[in-house]
Amino acid sequence: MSGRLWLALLLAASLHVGQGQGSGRLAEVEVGFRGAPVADAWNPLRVTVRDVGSGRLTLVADQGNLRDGEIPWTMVVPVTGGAGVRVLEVDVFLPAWRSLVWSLEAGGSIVASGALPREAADRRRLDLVVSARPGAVAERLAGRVVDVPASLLPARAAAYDGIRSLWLDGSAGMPAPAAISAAAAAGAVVVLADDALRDPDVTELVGEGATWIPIAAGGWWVGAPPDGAQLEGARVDLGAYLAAFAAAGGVVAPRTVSVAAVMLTASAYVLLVLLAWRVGGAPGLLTWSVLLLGASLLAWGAPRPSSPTLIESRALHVGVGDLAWRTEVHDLLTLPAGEVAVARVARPATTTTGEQRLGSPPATTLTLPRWRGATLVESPRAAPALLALDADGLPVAVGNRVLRDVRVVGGPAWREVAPGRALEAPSDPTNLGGNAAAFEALLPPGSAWARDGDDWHVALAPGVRW
Amino acid sequence: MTVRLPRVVEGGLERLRAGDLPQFGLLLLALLVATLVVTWPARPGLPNESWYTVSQTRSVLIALLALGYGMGLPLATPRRAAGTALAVLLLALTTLPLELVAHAGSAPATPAWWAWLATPIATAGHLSLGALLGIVVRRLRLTALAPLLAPAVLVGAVAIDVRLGVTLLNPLTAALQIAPGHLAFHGAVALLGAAALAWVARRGGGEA
Repeated sequence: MSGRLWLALLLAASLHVGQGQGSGRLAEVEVGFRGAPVADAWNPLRVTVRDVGSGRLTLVADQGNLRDGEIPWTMVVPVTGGAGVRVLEVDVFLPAWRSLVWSLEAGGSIVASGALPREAADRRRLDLVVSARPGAVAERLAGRVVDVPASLLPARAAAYDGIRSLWLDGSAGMPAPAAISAAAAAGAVVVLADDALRDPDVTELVGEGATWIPIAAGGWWVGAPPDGAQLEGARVDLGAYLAAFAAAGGVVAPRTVSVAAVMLTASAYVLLVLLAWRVGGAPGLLTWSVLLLGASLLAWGAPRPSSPTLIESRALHVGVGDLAWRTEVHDLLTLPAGEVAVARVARPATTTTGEQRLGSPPATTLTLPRWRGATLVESPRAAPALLALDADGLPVAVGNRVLRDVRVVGGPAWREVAPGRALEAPSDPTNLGGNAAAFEALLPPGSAWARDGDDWHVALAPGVRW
Repeated sequence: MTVRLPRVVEGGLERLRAGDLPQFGLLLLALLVATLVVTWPARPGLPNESWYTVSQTRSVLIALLALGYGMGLPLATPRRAAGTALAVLLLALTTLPLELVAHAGSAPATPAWWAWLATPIATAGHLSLGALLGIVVRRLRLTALAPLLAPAVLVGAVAIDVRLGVTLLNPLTAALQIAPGHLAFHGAVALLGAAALAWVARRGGGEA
C-alpha cells in the first residue's frame, strides 16, 4: 500500500473520531429547551458526560460585527465527571451571537466540542408545551413552540427567562410544582387546561380564581386557551422594567481635588524646593528630603479615590401576592483599564467582552477601558415579595423591612410602610422626574412601588393586563 | 553642630544653588505644574487623564536635560562632573510628586512605583548617553553640533522603538508602562558611561 493511501486512511480515521466525539458519545451539550436557545436571555444548559473525568465546559459567544471585530462573551462551567453518566444543569446567559462554539476539556484534553449556527440566535421567546398533543398549541400560536417532557422542566426561575408561556394539559404528565412556580415567577404565562386543573398540586398552587390569576411576574391561565395576542398582553415586560431600573442607578465618578487646589499646592511645592536648594548644605538637603516625602504623601493621598473600582449593587423585585421575580443589578466603574470582577453570575447590560464563570466561587469578569462604567444584571430568581397590595389596592409591607417612598401608580403616596403597622395618612405624590418617573410610567395603574435603600419593590396590580 | 556632607553631595547641592541648573530646574518644574493644571479635569465626574500627559512630559524633559548636561560631563573635572550628575538626578527626583498627584487622580493601571524606579535609572542612563556622545563629539571636533544632538538622540530613540515595536529607548512609552528592557538598557548605558568618564578622567581629559 502506498504512503499516500496510508495517509488518506489515517486522515479518514481521525475525521471519524472527531465526528464521533462531536456528536456526543462522550458528552452532550444542550443549550436551551430541547436545543432551542433564546438569544439575549438566560437559558438552561444541560451537559451529559459519559465516563469522562472532571473538567470544564467553555462556551464562547462572539457578539462582534464587521466594524468592531470580535466581542467574545465566555462562559465557563465546571463539570464534575467520573465513571458512568453524569448530568449537569445550569443556566447561562446567551447574548445574540455571531458564532457560538463550545468545548469540553477534561484531563488536559478536549473531549468534545461543537458549535451553534448564527441562525439559531433567535430572540423570540419560546412557548413550552407539555402535552401528548403539542400540535394543537403550535397551530394556535404563531410563535416558537417547543414540545418538552415534564421531567425536563427545571425548578429554576432563570431557566424560564426566555419563555413566554408554559402549556400544561396533564396528558403527558405534570412537572414538579416547583418548576411550575419557577416558570410563573420568571414571568411566563402558565396555561393550565383539561387534566392539569385536576392535579392536586396544581389545585393547591392555583386555588380558586378567575381566568387569569397573576402570581409574581407571571401567572396562571385557567380559562379558555389564549391566543398569541392574549399571551403578549398578559406578560409583564420585565426587560423594560429592568432597563428603566438600571438607568436609574449608575456609579458616579469620584469627586476629585479642584484645579485651584492642585495649582496652589504644586506651586507651593516648587517654591519651597527652590528655597531649600538656595539654603544648600545639609539643612538644604534635609529640607528637600522632607519636602519630597511630604509632597509625595500628600499627592498620593489627597486626590486618590477610595478604590480604583467602584461597585454598587441594587435589587429589583416585581411581584403579585407573596412571590416576586427578583434580580440584582451591579453598577461598576473602573478608573484603570483592565478586568473588573463581581463574585456573582451575571450578564452585562450592554454588549461587551467578558467572562461568566459558574461554580464555586462564581464570578463575572468584564474587560473595560479606563474610566468606563458598566452594568451587570444577575440571573432572575423567585423570592418572597416584600410589598403587596391588599384587597382595597393599598400597599402592605409583607416582609420584615420598612419600605419608604411608597407610591401607588395614579394614586396616593406614603412616606413609609412598615410591616404590621397601619398605614399613615397618604400624602400627595411628589414629582419624581428623571428615571424614576420613567420607571413608574411603565407600571400598570394601581400598582404600588417602594424603595428599601437602593432596592426597589413593585407590587403589580392583579387586574387583567390585556 | 555642623554636618559635613560627602564632597560629591556638596558639589551636587552647589550646582543646584547657583548657575544655570536652578534656572533649568525652575523651568522644568514650572512646565510640569502648568501641564498638570491644564490637564486636570475642570469639573468633578470628568475622566482624569492628567497622568498620561504629565508623565510623558516629565519623562521627555528630564531626558533632554540629562542628555544635555551629560554631554558636558567629559569636559568637567571629575568632582564637578559628579556634582552635576547628582544635581540632575536630584532634580529628576524632585519632579516625582508632581507625577504622583497626577497618578493618584488618574488611577491608571501602571503602578505608581514604576516612576520611582525608572526615574533614577533612566536619568543616569541619559546622563551617561550624553557623556558618551560628548566624548565622541569632542573627538570628532563637532562640538558646534552638540546642542542639536540631545533632541536628535531622543527623536532617534523614539524612531528606533517605533520601528522595532519595543519599549527600550523611547521615554514616551516607557513612562506609561512597566518596561524592564528600558531599565536594563539605561542601567547598562549608565555603567558604560561611568566607565568612559573614568577613562577620560584618567587620561586627564577633564578641564578644571
